[in-house]
Amino acid sequence: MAEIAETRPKLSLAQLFIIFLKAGCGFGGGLGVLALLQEQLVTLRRILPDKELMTLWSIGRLMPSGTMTAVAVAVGHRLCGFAGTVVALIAMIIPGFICVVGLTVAYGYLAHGAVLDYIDATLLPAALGIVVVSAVRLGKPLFRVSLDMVFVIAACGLLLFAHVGPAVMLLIGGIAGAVFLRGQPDETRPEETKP
Amino acid sequence: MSFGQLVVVIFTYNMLTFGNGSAVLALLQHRLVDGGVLGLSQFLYAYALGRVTPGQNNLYLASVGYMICGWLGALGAIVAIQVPGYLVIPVLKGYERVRHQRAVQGFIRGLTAASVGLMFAVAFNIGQEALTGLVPWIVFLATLALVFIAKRGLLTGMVGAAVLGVGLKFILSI
Repeated sequence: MAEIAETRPKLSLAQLFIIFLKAGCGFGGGLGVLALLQEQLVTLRRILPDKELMTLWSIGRLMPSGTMTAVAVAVGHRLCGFAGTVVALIAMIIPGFICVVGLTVAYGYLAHGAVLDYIDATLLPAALGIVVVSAVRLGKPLFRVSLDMVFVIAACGLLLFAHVGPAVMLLIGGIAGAVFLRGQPDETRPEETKP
Repeated sequence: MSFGQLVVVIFTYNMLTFGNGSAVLALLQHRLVDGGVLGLSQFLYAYALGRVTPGQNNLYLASVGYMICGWLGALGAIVAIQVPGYLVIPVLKGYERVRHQRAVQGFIRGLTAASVGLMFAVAFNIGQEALTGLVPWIVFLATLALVFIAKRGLLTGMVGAAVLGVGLKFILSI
């Protein structure tokens, strides 16, 4: 079980801004941003544990509007209080906002050209690559013979083949977890379960 | 459509559709395109921008806002989609109070496992759209190779593979 740690690691607003600015450069939608955020917060700077970020993302999926908006607010608030939420959101939005509005201004030139086709054939597959990397890294603790792994496969299958909505699927996963996983030892957190 | 109406429409639709971007798209298409505020090609162009630019996909709403009300519309749209994210703060505070209960621990564990499943499902769906030829496949595999084998950072891996793809596409188009 992932937890939200109570102690707050020290991080300046400027550092938070840089982290989220880099994350905002991720292509491939929210998962691309998550991948870069995970690299910055978990792998490089070790500010948050992997599972904590995953928990925030999971809860963020259940919030209205964008998942990464909720994650930015949660991480910003956890690391730097309310000011952190504003800084994290602004930093994460800047790269995409500039590109989107800039390309909207250029609508007349680009809408019927081949530029978007070029981007589709190059940036989109690259973005898919980092989405896969992110999924593999964040899911790594679950990749073993366990009930958790059954949940992963079942969720993926239901989403792909039964076309269950993402928010509904996550709620089903949570409720099923409350029923079937609450008494199970959590081997993804050995420090707690193996004294 | 006035600036106020634009912000209210985007804010309301985002609040109604929990993490389901497609549902927002359908609602906005009905309200803006069928309502004669935007042309279909404008709307689709804005949506495409959200897919090919960095950041969250829902940033395409800044493009929609710009097309309707200029810079102010773009900023208003962005604020409208960010504000609901603040609901996560009271939710996390509530979670802190109950997180030691076994049922809540099980809930979060199930939620986390389902989230990983969701990520692979999303990756599969993007793959069906993105991997439509030789160049996209090479770019995709090159990204994985740069990150997993060459141990490059994600941005380096992505940009490097995309540049390779541009080169390959250019050569193949000659």
